[in-house]
Amino acid sequence: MDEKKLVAFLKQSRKILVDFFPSGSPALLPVIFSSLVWAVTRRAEVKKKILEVKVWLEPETLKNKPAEFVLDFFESRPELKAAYEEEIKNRDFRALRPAFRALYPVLGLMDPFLEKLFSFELKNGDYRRLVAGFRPRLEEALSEIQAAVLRKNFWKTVDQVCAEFLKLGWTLLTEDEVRQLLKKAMEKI
Amino acid sequence: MTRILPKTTPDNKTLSGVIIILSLVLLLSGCASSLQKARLHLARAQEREKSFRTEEAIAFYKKSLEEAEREVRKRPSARAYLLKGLAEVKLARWPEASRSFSQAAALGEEKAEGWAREVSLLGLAVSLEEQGLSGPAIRLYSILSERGKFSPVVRAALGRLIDSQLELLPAVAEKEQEKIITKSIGIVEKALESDPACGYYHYLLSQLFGHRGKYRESFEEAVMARELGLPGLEIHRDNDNQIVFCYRRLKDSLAGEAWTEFSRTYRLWINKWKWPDEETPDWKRR
Repeated sequence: MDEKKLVAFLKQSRKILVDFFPSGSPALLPVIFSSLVWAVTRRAEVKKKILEVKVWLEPETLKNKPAEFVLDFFESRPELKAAYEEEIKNRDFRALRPAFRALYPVLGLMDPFLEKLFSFELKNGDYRRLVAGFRPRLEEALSEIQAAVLRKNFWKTVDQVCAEFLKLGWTLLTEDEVRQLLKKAMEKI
Repeated sequence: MTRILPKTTPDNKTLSGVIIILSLVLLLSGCASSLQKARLHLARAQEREKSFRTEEAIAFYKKSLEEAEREVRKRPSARAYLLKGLAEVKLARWPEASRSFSQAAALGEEKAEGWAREVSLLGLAVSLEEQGLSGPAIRLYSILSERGKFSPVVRAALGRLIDSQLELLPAVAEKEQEKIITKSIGIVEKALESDPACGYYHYLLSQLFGHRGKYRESFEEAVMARELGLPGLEIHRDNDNQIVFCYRRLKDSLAGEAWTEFSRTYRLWINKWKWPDEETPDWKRR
């Protein structure tokens, strides 16, 4: 995939979708990123996936995990093991559980929307900042999406962006390869 | 020179008649087709759901909903509202589904009344829980999961009931924890008796065995859940993470023949699922 072409495509997508969001909205780039990742991996699912961002916070996946699972999540990721060394050593679940609630959807379930929303913190390995800002940032982004969804032609525009993206040819790439290419290109827009 | 036609001729009458009939046929077929399409898409969705092709099923439920909405706008009927409600339930749009079933009941669809009640009770329980009133919410989840007749509501209520029980664990003594887990396992096993092919119930059971430290059982239930199909991407991934977690725990605890036997079984499954290695599900492939 030609990176210049991808960067130009992302700039164009941002230009098309920017009017649906307030100026400087934290939700815009996560919506583009997650729509494109989902467009590649689950073509018919874009709308549902965007609306489903809050699924982790609401229904069906069990939020309450055993202490061993929480500990394993931190210990099996070197970056988290380093960041939460003290809490892991002391088995301080009062600190680990709230951190897990924020970090698991991002790193454990690899939600592309959350990954882009907290891309700055992830890039800098600032997990504590991610945890502290998780709830307010997500609520802000979701309320902006709810407002955007009500505007005429939002879904049509997102669908068009996704359709154009698929034309660039992604079928042979894995989800992770698409994520990596998009992340790299998004830094240049 | 312009040829002036008489105002009415037998040919014109015939033509007008044909046009009227054609228009009526087109109009009626247009009206009927939305309902038929909604039904057809719903049937396709259910067929795919039964064969565990969840993504395709959801896409068909969405198409069914669009057609049912079109039908409701053009020609509201009990059948149209019922189809709309069914698609909404499958897409977890509870308040909309409750309204659709109520409309269907008002227009004469008897079974819709009970469904509307169950859907709205679930919506009420969710909203009570969100407002911090977990006691009444849990009671409602419990009633719906035990006595509910509408399976999507029963499953959603059961999941929420189990999660709310697990939430109590960190605050209670070990003996009490064991009681809560045993009770929860009993509830899910009872649900499985009436719906043994429900992947989501196996997922719940796997999570509960994980809480009890029974990793072999937890692994087996998670495999069942994966094979039977799960209702969402996040649950599917969470279930995969549980499989990896069980693998790690068993790697630490099993030895000799027991470990050899388990790791052979484990490899067979991950080969089937095309995982690159024991601790990397396909969606985490690097």
